[in-house]
Amino acid sequence: MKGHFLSPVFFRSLKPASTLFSFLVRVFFAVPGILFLVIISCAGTVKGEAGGAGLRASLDRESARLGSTVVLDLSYVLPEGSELAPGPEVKGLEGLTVIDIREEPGRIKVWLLLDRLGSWKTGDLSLAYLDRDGSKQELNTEPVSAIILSNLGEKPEEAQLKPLQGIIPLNPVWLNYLPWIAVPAGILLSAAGLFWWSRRIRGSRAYGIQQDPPHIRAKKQIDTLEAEGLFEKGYVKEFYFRLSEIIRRYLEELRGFPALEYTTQEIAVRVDNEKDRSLIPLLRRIDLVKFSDVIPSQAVKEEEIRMAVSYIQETGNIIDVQAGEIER
Amino acid sequence: MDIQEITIRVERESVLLRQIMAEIEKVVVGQRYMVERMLIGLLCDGHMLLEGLPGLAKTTAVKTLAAAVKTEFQRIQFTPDLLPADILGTQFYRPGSSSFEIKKGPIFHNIILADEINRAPAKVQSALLEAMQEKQVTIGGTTFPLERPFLVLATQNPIEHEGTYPLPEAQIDRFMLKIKVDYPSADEEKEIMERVHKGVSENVKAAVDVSRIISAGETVRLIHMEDKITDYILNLVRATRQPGDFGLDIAPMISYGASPRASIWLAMTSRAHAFLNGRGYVTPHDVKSVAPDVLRHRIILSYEAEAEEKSTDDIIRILLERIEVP
Repeated sequence: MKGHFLSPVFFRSLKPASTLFSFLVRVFFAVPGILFLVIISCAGTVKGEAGGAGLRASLDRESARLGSTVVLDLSYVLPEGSELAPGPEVKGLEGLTVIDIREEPGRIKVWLLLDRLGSWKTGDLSLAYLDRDGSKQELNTEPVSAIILSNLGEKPEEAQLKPLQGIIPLNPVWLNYLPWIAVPAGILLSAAGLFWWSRRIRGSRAYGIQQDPPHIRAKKQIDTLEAEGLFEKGYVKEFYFRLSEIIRRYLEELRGFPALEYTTQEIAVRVDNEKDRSLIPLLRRIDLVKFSDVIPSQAVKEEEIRMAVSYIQETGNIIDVQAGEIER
Repeated sequence: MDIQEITIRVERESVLLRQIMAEIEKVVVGQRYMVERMLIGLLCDGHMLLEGLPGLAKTTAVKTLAAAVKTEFQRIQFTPDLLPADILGTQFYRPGSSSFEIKKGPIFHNIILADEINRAPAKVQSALLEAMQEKQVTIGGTTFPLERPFLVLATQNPIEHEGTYPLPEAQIDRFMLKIKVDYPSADEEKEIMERVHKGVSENVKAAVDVSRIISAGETVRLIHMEDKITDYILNLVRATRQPGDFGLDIAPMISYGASPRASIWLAMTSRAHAFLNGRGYVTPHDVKSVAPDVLRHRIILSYEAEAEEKSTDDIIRILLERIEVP
């Protein structure tokens, strides 16, 4: 093992005849290295001017989002006996938004706002200084640029803008709830429609049943009541309560006042024709059975039924005549 | 006792009341409604609150009623400086015998006219209303029962509220009836004018003995009430509490419905009304006739009703119109 070819061990392993060769090898490898180091070191220094003076500009970031700030670092070396012009006076920033400028020994930091999309670039940068004679000179350097990224992501054209009251038009709030309202409303409407339809069907059937005029219906109800034989079975009060209800309901339909909610006295006050007034004694006798312990005989009961039916038929005939006149 | 017998007894005893009414009508022109209600109160042993404007013969009617019945009558004018002892009585020291003696107050009478009851402070009202409820008074540790009939007729003026102490709802519930005394008709007023002009002053005869009033009260209790009438009374009272159950849309107008006292008194006064009409059984008309007076002060209206200027009478009218009679 002779070691690395640049190591002393390597060179010691070479014969004396090859010393020149080894020197040449060393130079061959060392000179480019030294040159490389020199170039590297120069790259980090200011742009050379006469006597080592110069200006170098750099940004703290190559890219940034719109609305953020970048720091422009201007490193300078002034010629001997010179001084920075008061200000300091930096050119090349025209049209850019300068937020702050801070001066440090050998450098000036400038905070700039990235306030436009697309290319963002400074002009040719220059820094004014006063030479030893007091005359104004400039250090110059090339422009710097940054890539400005959109806040709307990598593909701004595809971004969905969020609504902002008064700035970006909003969708009406109710539109957000529209599906939640529309679906139940639809269901409810359908249910209501179905209900209405079923009622209509049933109503038309019921109407079919109630086609009878009030007097026919009342007569039928009295016939049914009699057929049940409540009176004969001893349910006298029940019989008269039902009879009273039939008569009052008929009166209600005939005259249009709530006879079911009226007492006999109130009905007596309300009725205004002779025919209706003839009903009042019957209602009073019915009340006597309903609320007292009067039990009428079979004959009295039949007479009362006959009176009720007679009243219904007589007033019913008037209804028929009136209906006929209307039809004509 | 069957209804027939009761009816006969009612017909016989109700004649007395017609005599009383005739005596009262000698002095009081019109106000038949108020007089009838006062007789119902006498029969049911229930107290009454008469509300009406000044000059509508409230005090005169009560005085005349007391005169027509052989009872002890006392009028108490309620004032802001009245004390409970001024009504109930007190114990006082008698130096001669070195002992305490009890002096009974004006409440120890059969018919009391508590004139302008809302002018006395709450403690006095409370003392009176407690005696009305318990029908006894305790003075210095000794309890004295109040003699029957014991009827308090309190009056109050609905328009004056300055310097008054309105009766609390809980206490007002102890009055069996609250009667609104209205203006007389034109003919009645004309007759009043003529009587005053001529200086006519009729002497009221004591037509009826107290014992007969008590007996009539017992007959009232015997009057038959059909189950369906009882149900009708219950429906009316319960409809003030849950109107929705009866298909009525007046629930927002009522804060509190009538208490069970309303059912009790409505049944009782309906019987008394049937008695006055000479019947031994109650009809729905009896119930409808007395329902406004029994329920008027027992329904507490909501703010909505007050804002719409609805009165308890409006509510009662709806109940009576919409609840089916048996």
